[in-house]
Amino acid sequence: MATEHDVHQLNIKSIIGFGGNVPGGLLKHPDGIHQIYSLGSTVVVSDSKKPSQEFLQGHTNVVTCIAISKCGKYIASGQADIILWDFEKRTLLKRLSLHKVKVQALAFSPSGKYLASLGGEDDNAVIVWDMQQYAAICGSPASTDSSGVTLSLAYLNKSDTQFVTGGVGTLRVWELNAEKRKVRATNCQTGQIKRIVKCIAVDENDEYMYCGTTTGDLQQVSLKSKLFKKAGPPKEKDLFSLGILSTALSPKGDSVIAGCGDGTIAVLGLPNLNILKSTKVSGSVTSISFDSPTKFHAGTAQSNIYSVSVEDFKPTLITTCHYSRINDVCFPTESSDIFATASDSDIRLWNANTKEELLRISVPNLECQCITFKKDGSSLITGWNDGKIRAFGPQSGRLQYVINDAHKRVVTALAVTDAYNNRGDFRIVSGGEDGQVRVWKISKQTQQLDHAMKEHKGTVTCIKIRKNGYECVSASSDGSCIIWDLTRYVRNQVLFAPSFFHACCYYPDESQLLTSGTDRKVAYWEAFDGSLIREIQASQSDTINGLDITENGKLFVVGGSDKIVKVYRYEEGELHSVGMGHSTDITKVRISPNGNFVVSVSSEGAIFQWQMPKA
Amino acid sequence: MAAVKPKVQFSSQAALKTQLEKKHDPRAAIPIPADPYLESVYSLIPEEYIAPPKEKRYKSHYSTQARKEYVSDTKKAASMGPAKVPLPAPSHFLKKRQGVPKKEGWFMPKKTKKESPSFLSKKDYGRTPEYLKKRVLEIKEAELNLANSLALKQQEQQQSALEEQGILVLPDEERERILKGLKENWEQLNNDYQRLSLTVDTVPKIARKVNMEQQLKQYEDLIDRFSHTNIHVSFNTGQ
Repeated sequence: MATEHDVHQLNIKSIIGFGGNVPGGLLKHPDGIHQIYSLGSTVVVSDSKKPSQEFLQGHTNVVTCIAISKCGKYIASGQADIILWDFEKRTLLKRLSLHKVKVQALAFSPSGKYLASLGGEDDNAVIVWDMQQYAAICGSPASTDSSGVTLSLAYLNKSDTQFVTGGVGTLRVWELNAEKRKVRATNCQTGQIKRIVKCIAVDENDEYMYCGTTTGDLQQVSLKSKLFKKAGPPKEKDLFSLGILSTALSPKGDSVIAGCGDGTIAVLGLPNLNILKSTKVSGSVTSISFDSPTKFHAGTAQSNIYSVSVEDFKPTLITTCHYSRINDVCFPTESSDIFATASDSDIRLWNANTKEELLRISVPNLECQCITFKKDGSSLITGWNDGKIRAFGPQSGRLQYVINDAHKRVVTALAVTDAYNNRGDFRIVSGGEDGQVRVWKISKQTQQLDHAMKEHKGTVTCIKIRKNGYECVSASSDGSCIIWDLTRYVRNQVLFAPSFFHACCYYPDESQLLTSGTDRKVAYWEAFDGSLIREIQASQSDTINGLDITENGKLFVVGGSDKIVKVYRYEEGELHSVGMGHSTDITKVRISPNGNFVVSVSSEGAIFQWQMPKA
Repeated sequence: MAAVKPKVQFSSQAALKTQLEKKHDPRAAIPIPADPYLESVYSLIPEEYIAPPKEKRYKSHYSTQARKEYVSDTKKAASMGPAKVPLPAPSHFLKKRQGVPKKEGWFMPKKTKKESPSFLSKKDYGRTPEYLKKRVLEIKEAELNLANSLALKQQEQQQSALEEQGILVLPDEERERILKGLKENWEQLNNDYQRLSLTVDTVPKIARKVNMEQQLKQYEDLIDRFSHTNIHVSFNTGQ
């Protein structure tokens, strides 16, 4: 019986997401096949030939930097401590923890013998690690007290003992003496010029380094004389707006590619540093990695990955995903192959199998809070923060109808009934920030308010309708859940708990109710008289935001601000399995209609698909 | 309508994929309906591509026959004739106009021109040709016909002219009735005349005999007149 109490690990089916904000976060493995990037606290190894992904999990918070050794054997990722991964086995080799709070940047020496790491603002230290013993050799303060924060780090291409760091008004060349366990820095003289260096690229022969600055110019600094040589582009009007965030030297060595904060990718020719070509992509370009001598990938802060050919310099979008908080996720009633997500910036429809984006709907300056499909799948119904309910055609994304002023401020919850006549007319039950639950009669031509029920005092967070359509339950952040009669439009039952309810759902036979909220508990209620049956402490620390139950009612899934997806047995109330991977709050979880997988979405914009365990 | 129009885009990632997989692209198969209310999310699900069943390998109807013939011990080149043709016997040497094999440098005898035909040996030499006789007859007939038709036309014209003057042709039945009556009258009168006494001595007798003779003469004249067929009667009382 002991096995019954074992907690399993949820397997990740796939992740739709790319942490575009990590500087230099998109890396190409030297084998030319694999691509490595981070997503929240997970390091993702994706195969460019196959649609498969592998996940390196071990961090407890957002990964701040990634590096890969030239031999391809090691991957290092930094958070508060550094994790060293064996690429071949995809296993954690060693945790290197000396830095405090944050690791700013990582760089392997050309032979892979050493790893240099740079701590964040609070830490302000440079540490060199020995890759044979996985131990620190020496450390030193990254910058003098007079100069500012150090932001970037790069190893030289030929020397194992030299690396450079750059930051706010500081640019240093470091010399390692491994025998004496010492590292010594030499400041580069830039004269009057004071810049904030965001990224550094060192040329093939270790003659010059090219530093991208927030001013929008690229500085060429000699590594021998440690003297500033040149800054480009030559004309001041050509300086890149929002700064240069990523640099890379072209494989031929005749130009430097700069990725900028406004999304510009430009080629600066050597030796004059004049702009040869430039193109624009969406989102600030945070990483540039060469795929082949003629093609490179550019990752942007808006979580897009572009492929750019050096020849014609035209960007092609390869992958894209949400880059802001995802508010809701939903499946059409009869298909698990497709799901829709609503984020702060747009609504997207995804192919669950290929992770391909099928459609994107965005209404400028507005945020979609909740999303649901009409029962027959012919309409995508969405609630917005301008108080409107909008319905879109799910194939083209064309607007079908708008219900103006559906709620006073934000429409926060939506549910639909089955069609009640043969013309396909149906009802929408919507909840808003104003605490009202409103019922709308929707026909093709008209959308009518049927009834408004004013009982809740706080935001309505979740609405679920019974299968027969005569009763619904609404959860609210005022600490109550109300079961409504949808024929007489009166309150049937009310459930109180010292909690801001975030989610609720019916047990499949609709005799019981499950609720979850900020009290970190999942509560079972009797649907008939509203009495509390039991409570489970589903999280030790944080709010539970998402809740869903399987068709057969044996398992239910919760996800919350503790970033863990948990599967519980309904009858026993025991934890069945946990899924770790999210690095920010999980906003919603949803079990696919066929019950094979769970989709969880989070506030960093990641969509995780987990294999649903068999009960 | 909403104040702000929703911006919609198909991700170029999907577009790229569709370009690559245009062959069995599900979105191409299901076009987006014109009415946004008719759209369905299920149309977005790519249909699984099921390869069409492999067709049976082509096999000729005659394969078994061909195979049998190929391996059987029938004569070689039986259908195309023998590979070697026997030479003609020396006695059957090639004679003039027996068919010269066409070879370069050889000339085929030219065909002579045919002599012009002898017209003297013709059957109807020196006679009026049959067609001409026919033709003359035809002309004559045509002339006759023309004359007849002209006469008929003239007659009709005359008749119509007479009719205009009030003169009508006496119908035949009418004429015969009159003629019959006249003849009866004449016979009765002639009977009376034959029974007259031989002695005509008195004046009344003479007068009676002369009167009868006059009457008989009158009848005979009339009978003679009505014996003709073409009798015209004038109704023109004024004249």
